[in-house]
Amino acid sequence: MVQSPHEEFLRWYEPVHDRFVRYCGSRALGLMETEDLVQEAVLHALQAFYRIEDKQRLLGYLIGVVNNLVKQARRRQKFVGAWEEKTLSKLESRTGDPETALDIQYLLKAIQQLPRQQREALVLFEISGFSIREISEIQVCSEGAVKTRLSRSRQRLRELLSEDGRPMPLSKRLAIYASLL
Amino acid sequence: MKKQISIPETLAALRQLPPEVSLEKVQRWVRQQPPVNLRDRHWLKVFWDYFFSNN
Repeated sequence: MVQSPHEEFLRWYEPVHDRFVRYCGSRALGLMETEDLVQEAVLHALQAFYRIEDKQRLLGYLIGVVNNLVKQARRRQKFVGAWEEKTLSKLESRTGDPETALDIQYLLKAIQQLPRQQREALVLFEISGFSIREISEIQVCSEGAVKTRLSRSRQRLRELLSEDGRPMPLSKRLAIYASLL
Repeated sequence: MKKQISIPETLAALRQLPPEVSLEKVQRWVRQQPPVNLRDRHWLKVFWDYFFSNN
């Protein structure tokens, strides 16, 4: 039986949905609604689906679209204060714990400061839950390169969140939190 | 009282959050879209084919 293009798209999309949405959630922080980002990326990929010869590349294509949309949104972004407050209250309602929500927001802001490929590898592995092999297919590189990116990103993240490898003192963290609000 | 941020713990908390968008919603968006090939073509070509083409 021949499937319609939409159904064929969904057949390839469905297995990666949860992990893709997690990726979008961590990239949309402070910029836009996750739902808007997912919708825009999915509909864009749907339009281009017939042009993607190797359907295994759909996920890589979706990630690329998300990265471009985030880049465009960042260029347009002028005032973030009110939006970050809204993001934080949303995180609070999802976690049910204000302190965890603050930690998550703080961590995601630090992740945003990582170089592009390291950030992408870290989010895909640690937050979305893709395997190193899958990430190497998305990033079109060797598994060794992905491992190196992961290792460097973790190291950089530790440096961003602490000094000389030790956790940052509460007073300093509170000062950073205050600047976020 | 918790005083330090733990990267592994925070990442774990992040992974445990339920996805913000359900699969059903995405399926609905996709199925509501008009046929892809039609969207991709110029409106004039669609018009021309509709009225003047035998195909």
